[in-house]
Amino acid sequence: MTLHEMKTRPPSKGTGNYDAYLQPGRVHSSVYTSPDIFEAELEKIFYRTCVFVGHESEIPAAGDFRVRKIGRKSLIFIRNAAGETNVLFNRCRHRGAALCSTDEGNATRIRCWYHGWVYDAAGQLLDASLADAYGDDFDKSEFSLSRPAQVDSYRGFVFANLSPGGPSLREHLGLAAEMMDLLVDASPVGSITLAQGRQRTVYGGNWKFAGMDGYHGPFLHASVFEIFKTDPKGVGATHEAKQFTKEAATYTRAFGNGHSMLDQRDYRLAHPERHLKVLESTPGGSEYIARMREAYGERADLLITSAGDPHMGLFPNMQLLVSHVRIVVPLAVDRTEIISIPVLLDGVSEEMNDTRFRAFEGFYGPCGYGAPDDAEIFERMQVGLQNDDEPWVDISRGMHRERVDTDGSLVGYISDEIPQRSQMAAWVKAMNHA
Amino acid sequence: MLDTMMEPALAEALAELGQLKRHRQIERFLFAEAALMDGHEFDKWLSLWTEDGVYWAPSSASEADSVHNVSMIYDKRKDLEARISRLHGRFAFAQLPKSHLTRVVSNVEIADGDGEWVTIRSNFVLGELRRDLAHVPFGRAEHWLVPEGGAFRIKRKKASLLNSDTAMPNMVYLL
Repeated sequence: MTLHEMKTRPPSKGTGNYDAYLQPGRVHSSVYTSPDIFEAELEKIFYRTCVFVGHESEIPAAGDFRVRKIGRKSLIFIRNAAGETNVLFNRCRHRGAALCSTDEGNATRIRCWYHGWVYDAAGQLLDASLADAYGDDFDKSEFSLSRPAQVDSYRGFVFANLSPGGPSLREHLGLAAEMMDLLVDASPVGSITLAQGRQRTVYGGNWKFAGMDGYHGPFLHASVFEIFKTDPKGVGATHEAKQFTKEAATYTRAFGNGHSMLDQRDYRLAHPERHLKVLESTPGGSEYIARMREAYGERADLLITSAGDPHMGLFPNMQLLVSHVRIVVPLAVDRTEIISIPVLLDGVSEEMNDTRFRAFEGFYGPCGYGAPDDAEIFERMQVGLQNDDEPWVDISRGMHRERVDTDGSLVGYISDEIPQRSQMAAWVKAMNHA
Repeated sequence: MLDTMMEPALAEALAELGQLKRHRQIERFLFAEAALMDGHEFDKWLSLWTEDGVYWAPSSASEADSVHNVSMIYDKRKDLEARISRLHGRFAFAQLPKSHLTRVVSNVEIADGDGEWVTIRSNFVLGELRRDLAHVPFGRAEHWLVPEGGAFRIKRKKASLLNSDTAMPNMVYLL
């Protein structure tokens, strides 16, 4: 394909080979700007990979539900009367009306108001109204709300794959599962709660921009580092400009399947003073340190200093960073929604969770002092990438110095573009899947 | 005879005039605050606040409180100062260039004027233009004002956006 063809006639939905879009250290910008490629991504990636739906703690009581999108499809993430979590397509099995018209709520009975069909919270059809018209052999069990081909969970994080086959969730997560533990095991009782609301933001740019990047911090977020200098509580205690210099023991790490992490573990273990000081001056903080040592022994120092921040992106649609879980929702090639859900640690003092919570509020959301600058630059990216007479986007930073670590992960310096190369490698593999 | 008939009517009229004056005074305060926010006059706007002020913009339309539900803004004085300082600086890229803002404040109602504070409710429509994109959020504001030497200071402000449940673009200007 010529460069012109790559932009104007990309492989159509469902067929074709995408190798030409990724060269060593560079990616063709039409992956971010082509509506045809976006449509293909929905089929090849969002309807075909392990996609994050929600965390079990979001729906604690029977009937609690969240409506989440996978591509253009909407799914109901709901807890049934028996206490199990379910993922159900938001569509009446009769004539197809969407059942839930709010994005969260509680319903132990889900009624379609078109013709009165009613389901329970496990999606079983309880009653098709005036059912005698369907004859004696009408079998309600054939009209249960349909479900994704595969649903699985890890530590309460529920994922769905709309297609059969492919890797299991554990295979898909690989080494990334251990980094998810860094968040959940920041709680001395090994559990987290996502029940404090969420921020929903939208930016005019491609979904693939939202990823791990250890290069941009001191520049794009210069205003934030200014604030942190004067107030080191909360996020500031674990985020300093020093961590993003080449001397720091901080890395980027790729785990395969597109997952990557800004790995600050060694740095935080080597410089725990500031964070420990904040903990010790927070009511419940000293008790937390003691309980963590008791619960986790040798792992405690790592867990305490990591402060529940794996700073990781899971391909395609999920991130675990700082104090929240983030879901990336592709709306159009140039429009993306981000759902940011703050995470509270179970078994810690209210004051400790309050500090995490307030730090999240400060940085993230549409009025925060950090995240809006990311959204702004993503919108500038979408404008700049239209100017594609020179179509190649450089993601070669640190290519010469990446190496395979003993655990099999690919590791580089904190500011190297391992996350971008790893995302695009997984992208090409998924897009080429027949 | 005429005097005794006129007195109650006059008293009533004077009382109503007093109330209208007060209402107008409060409206003028809200309009002046709006003008400062529209003009990005951060320091003058900050000077309207008491030292123990709380500025709150919930991120959900449901009446969840600020403790049990994440907010878009929940600033105490220190956070307000950090917010203003960042907006003054050279690195708040989400507001470089700054949005053009014009808001309409209306439906002003004194909810409670009996105590030490005056509680005001109002509606606003905020026209924002930035880089050829217009965004027009609607909202309701609640102000808790402390009278101070013929003027007011803001002790608490809650800005509830109509669309706070939906996916929001950047709103880094003052609400």
